[in-house]
Order: sequence, then structure tokens, then C-alpha cells
Amino acid sequence: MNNRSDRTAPQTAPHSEAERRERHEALAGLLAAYVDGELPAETMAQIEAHLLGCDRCQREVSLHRAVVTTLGQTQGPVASAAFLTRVRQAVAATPVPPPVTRPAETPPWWQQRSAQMVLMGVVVLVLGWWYVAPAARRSPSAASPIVRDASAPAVVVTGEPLFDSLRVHYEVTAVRDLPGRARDLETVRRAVGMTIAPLAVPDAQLSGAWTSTLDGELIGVLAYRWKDKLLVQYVIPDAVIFRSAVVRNALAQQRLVAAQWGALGLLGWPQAHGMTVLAAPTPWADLRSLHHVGG
Amino acid sequence: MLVLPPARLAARQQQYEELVIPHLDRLLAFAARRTASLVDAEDAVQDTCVRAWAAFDDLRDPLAVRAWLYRILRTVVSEHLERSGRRARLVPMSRLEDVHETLVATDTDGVFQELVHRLDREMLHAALASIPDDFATAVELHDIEGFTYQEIAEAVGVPIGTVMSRMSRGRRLLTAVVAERKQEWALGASAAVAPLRPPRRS
Repeated sequence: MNNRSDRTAPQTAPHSEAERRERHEALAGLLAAYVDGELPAETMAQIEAHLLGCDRCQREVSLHRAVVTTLGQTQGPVASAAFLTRVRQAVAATPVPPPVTRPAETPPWWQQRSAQMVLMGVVVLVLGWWYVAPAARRSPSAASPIVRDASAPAVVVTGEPLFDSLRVHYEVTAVRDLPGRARDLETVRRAVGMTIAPLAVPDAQLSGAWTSTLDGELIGVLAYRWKDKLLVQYVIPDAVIFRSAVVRNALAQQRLVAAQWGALGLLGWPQAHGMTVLAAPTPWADLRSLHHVGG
Repeated sequence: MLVLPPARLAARQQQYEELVIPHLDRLLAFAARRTASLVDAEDAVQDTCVRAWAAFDDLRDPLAVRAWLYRILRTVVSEHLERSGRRARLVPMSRLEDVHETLVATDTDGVFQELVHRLDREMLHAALASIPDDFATAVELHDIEGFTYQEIAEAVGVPIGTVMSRMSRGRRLLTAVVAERKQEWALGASAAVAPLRPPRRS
């Protein structure tokens, strides 16, 4: 550590009592680092000079040295062969997770040419619809086919590949550190290119948002702490949903889609684009209460 | 589930064995000082190893594996303690700061001299459980595990200046806890009439 630039220690010789005291305070806070040899040579020399005339700091250095010497003799338990075997078995039983895709730095959406084109198209369509079909916008039958009813019937699927992939993703997520923080949500929205509405319930705290891949497509993943459990919200694009006939048909019939693997429950419903699926270690029916507040 | 080709999986497993398994003893010792029993410590280390395997691709620098593993272990132990509702009973810091000031200011009762010469692991390990974990961790990682300040900063996720401060205050607090229990450890002027060691707690 001797090559570190010395910005910590006072540079001039003290003159007054106040200066000496100030210098003492500055150096006293560095005594642990001095004992550990973690300071630049110049500061080490200054402290050595200070120690010659300061009994208090000498005593403090003695205490630091006594602690270092004593703790340095500590010996801990040794991992037994049986424990080592147990660890290896646990590791072998853990699936290798899919790679987490970090969204690349992209310019704000409004600066992207494709987004500008899409925006212009949307404006034209909205204006056209407004003038051409005034009756349609007042008709209840023209409403979006999104399932908004939390009590809507659910299709419970078993062995369905999409939900099975989400189960595996959840299990892997549950045993690793969450890769993102809530502030990444906007980046995830831009990367996925879909509406992502986080759950807005008081007992679900968003703790991470990132992207991942499912069946070769980018998906949004939001993790929450919910009733001291890990709740994960998957936002999945249409491209993935429409590969699964079971899911596709269920959503077309205005139904929720649910699955249960042991303690892990999953519940999905369509969004304006794509689909949201919640996964948590709870009966899937418990997730209904989160449906109406979901995206 | 990502199914790796057998050759890649074998390479991953070999790298994991070489980088992670050699740290098992030290991880176990660190966990044992923070949990109620060796069984709890083993559970925490096993959980750490599983998480390390799942997140192994996140380890960019193999040289930083030790700090990375301790970082995971600290998270695991913290979660275990939260789940079990077990937290160490801490001694108020301000009181310990006062004890330390008195200790280094003078040595009229002989406590300082005896403390320096008779300090032992049992005293310090008992004291480590009484000070806030941030300080205890910094001191343990340096004095027991042999981390540099830079490695501690990486393992704990704080700037090196914070490590410097935690090392300084951590050791002060440790010696203050021992000094505060001077009668228990028979330190100072009363040592001549007090028993040399307290009865061992089973």
C-alpha cells in the first residue's frame, strides 16, 4: 500500500496546541491502518514521529497489536468429508441458470427512429379511428380483450412447456442473488419494448427488475418481496405466448392460466401486448388477489 | 433450464471445484462465529456454495473469488438470522467508546497493561459477538482471514475509507468490551484476589 498517494495526513508541522490536537485527532483515526501497514510510507513516518511524544496513541497501538496477534491465532472448524460430499451433492442438484441478459445502453426511445415511426403510425391510427368509428369507441363490445376480472375462470395447466420454463427460471432465481434493482425498471421497459406495470400492492415491494430470455425471446422479470416470500412477475411477449396452443386458447377464452408445482404457484393473464405471469411459493389461487393490480 | 453441453458443464464444474472448494474451511469458520451451532454454519456454507454455483458465471475475476464468496455468505447468514429471529445482543456503542477512552487515557488500575498482555482468543471471540456486525466482520476478515483492506472493501461492498474506519473502531470496541468485563476476566488491580479465569460456560 506504500504507493498510495498521501491525502490523509496533515502536511505541515503543528505549531499551536490547537494544531497539535487537530493533528493528534487526524492521526489517531489511522492507527489501525498504521498497525496493518495499509498506509503510504509518508503517513507511516508521520505516525511514527507522532507516537514518540503521545502516550495515548502508543497505548492505542499496543491494543491494536494485541488484538491482531491474538485473533491471528484463531483456528476454526475444518469441513468434514461428509460435509464436503453434501455440498457437492447440493451443487450437482442445482441447475445451471440461463444467462441474465443485461440490456445494452440505448438512446432514449423518443430518439430512436423506429420509435418515431411507430409513434407517427399510432397517431394516424388513433385519429383515423376517432373520425371513422365514433360508435365503436362507445360500444362495450369493442373493449380490449384483456382479462381484468380477478375471479375469471382459470385454466390449470400441467406439463405445459412455457409454464414449466417459468418454474425452472423461478427456482434458479430463488437461489441466486437478484441481478438488478428497481431503478433498472425503465431500462427493462425499453429493452423489452412492452408495457410493464409493476404490482401496486402495499405488501409487495419491488426489489429487482431485469431481462432474461425465454424460448429465445427477451422477457421482463420483476422480483418482489411479498409476505416474506419471493414473488416474481414475468412479462412475456406475444411471440412466446402464441407458440403454446394451450396458453393461447385459454387467453382467447378470457381465462386466466394457472399452474402448481408443489409449493410453487403460477398465475398468468394477458396484457394489451403479451402476458404477465406471477410465480410465488403459494397456492396459485392466492395470486388472484394480485391480479387486479397487475399489469 | 439451461442445458450446457457436457464438455462445458465439466469445465464449469472443474473451475468451480478449483476456485470455491478450497475456501470451504474458512467459510465454515466465519459462519460458525455467526451462528448458534456448527450445523447452522454448515447449512449456511452449503447454501452459499449452491448460490455460488448458480451465479458462477457472474464471477468475472477468479482472483476476486474469496471476497465474492464472503459476500454471498454474509447475505446467507443474515437471512438465516432474520428467519430464526436470532440477533446478537449488542452492547451500546457510546458506552464502549467511553470505556475505550478511559482505557487509553491512563493506566492507574493496571487494566490496560494486563489487557495487552493477557488478551486471549476466548475474550476476543466473546467480544466479537457483542459489537455490531459491520465492525466485527471487518476485524475478522483482516485479523483472522488475512484479507487486505481492499479485499474487505470488495467483500463488504463499501469504500476503503469505510473499511479503515471500521477496523479502527472495531478493535477499539473489542478491547472496550473486554475492559468493561474486567471483573469477569479478572483484569486489573483486583486480579490478585479474583479467580484467574471465569468458570467455563457449557
